[in-house]
Amino acid sequence: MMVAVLTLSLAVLLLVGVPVAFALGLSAFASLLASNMPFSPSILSMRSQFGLQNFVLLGIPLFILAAKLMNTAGITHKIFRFADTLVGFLPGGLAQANVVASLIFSGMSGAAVVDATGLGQIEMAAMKKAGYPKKFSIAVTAASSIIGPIFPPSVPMIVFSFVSGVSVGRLFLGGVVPGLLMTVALMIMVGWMSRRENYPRQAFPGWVTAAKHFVDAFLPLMTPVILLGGIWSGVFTPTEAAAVAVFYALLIGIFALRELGPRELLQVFVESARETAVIGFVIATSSLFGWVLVRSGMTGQIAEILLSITTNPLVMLFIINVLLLIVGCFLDSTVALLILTPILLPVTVKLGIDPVHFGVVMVLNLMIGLMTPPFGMILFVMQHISGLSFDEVVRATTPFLVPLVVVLLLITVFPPLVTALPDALMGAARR
Amino acid sequence: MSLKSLLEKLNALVLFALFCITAAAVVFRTILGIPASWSEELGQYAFIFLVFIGAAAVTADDGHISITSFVDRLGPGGRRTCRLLQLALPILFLVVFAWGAWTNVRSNWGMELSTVAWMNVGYMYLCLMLSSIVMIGYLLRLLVRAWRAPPPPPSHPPIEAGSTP
Repeated sequence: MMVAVLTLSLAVLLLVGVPVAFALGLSAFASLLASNMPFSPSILSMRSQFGLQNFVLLGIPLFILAAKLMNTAGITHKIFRFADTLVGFLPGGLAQANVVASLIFSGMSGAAVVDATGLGQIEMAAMKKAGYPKKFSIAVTAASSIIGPIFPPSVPMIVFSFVSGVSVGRLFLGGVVPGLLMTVALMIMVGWMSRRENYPRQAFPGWVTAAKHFVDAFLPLMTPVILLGGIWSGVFTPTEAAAVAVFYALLIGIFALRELGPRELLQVFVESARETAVIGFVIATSSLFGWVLVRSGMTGQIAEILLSITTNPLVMLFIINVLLLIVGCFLDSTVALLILTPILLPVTVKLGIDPVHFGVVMVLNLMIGLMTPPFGMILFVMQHISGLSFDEVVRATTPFLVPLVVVLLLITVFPPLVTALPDALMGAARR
Repeated sequence: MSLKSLLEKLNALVLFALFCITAAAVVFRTILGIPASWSEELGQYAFIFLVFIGAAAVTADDGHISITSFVDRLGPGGRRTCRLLQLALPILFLVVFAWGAWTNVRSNWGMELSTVAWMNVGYMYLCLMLSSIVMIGYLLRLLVRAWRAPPPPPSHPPIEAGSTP
């Protein structure tokens, strides 16, 4: 009874369009009322605040803040110019620079939307000026922004770590190789399309200019080095690394580039706090939902069903991948991580799948969902920026799903692509 | 200054405090060699304040994440009914939530955090209760407007909310 009320009420509330945070809270509330357990209203606020009492989660507002500070300080311009110098001579020069700039920016941002709205607008303006078709610019910008939440730091990995208890440091390191693979795969795709369509390439600007662009971009380029170096060497935790990133962004923005004044700072802090609240409120009520979910016994029942289909880890991962690709089309990625991780993780652990491997596969899978209709947030961002229709954006970006799915398959089949780096740098995990 | 603007500015301050607390932990441990166990607990409380004050401000302009792909396919009557439900049902949840938070305020008032003596656990529950009440107020205002207004046009997810990583 409890399971039926929980799932049905959640499905109906989400369909009706009730905000996800309230839908999670309401379905948990309805399920508690329908059960035989004694109900006290105090449990709602108690469980919701309890879900937020996790030090790992403090990384979310701080990484959002760091990325916004970098964007506002104009660092994105310097990164894009440096990326253009690096790879602009390849076929489809500016499109290649678009991909590489996203990789570099992802080393300081952990969210695809921040990449697409900040760096993406600069990239698309430059590509338009150079005569690239709008649809191609949109597609490259959308696809490359997906690197952001995979290459560390990553907000969705923090959310996964919160639900699963897996080390954020390991998850961050686990995302390095997949992030690089995505970059290479997208560059190959861009190169192939650019040759076919005869898109222009830039001339190499010469070593002196290249050195100047490198010096201009040097301070922002150091961000991922400082963050990963600090986490790896144990100087600070991943959450503290987020505070270090904010401090570094403030130093660059206020003193080095002199672009951040009191008005810009207030605006950035207000926007970051707002975005944190949107995500955090879903986390709070999902914590209540998760608590009811476990008490209902539903997680065990789903695990039994999945394990009755197969006990082969690879087949299970493929089944989960298909399920997540479908879910990613309809559900927000944070919501999907919060609801599905407690259900799917026990199954994968039972089959001996490394939780870090599963976490990175799950996050990449759901991030691909940002580019699939009808609820692909990046598609909406691109529509908003470009002024094209939603259908045109979908048609333009669909071919770029291929390299991303190829990388997803690669990391699914070859777990060391994810686990080798964390194991090498942080020691083999206890499994 | 509107209540929403006040809440946003207050929350920007809380975010700044959260940054300072987390940064202080690094400075205390790595530079001064003093473990700052208080920073973890205080940071978590700052995060709770950040989320609930912010959630109230976001409710003012209906900015919470919702899935509209089904509702957008409905006719004007269906969209209007769904719109009213989207605003009315959360009020039901928030009333029970606020009631429960008030119970927790009373039972935890005077209880200090183990590492930060001046931080009362009751303050945190008070923030949850007040946030819920503000959200109820905003939702009621939106509900009245929706009741009077013609059926809403199909919508897209709020891009500026940046809800999706």
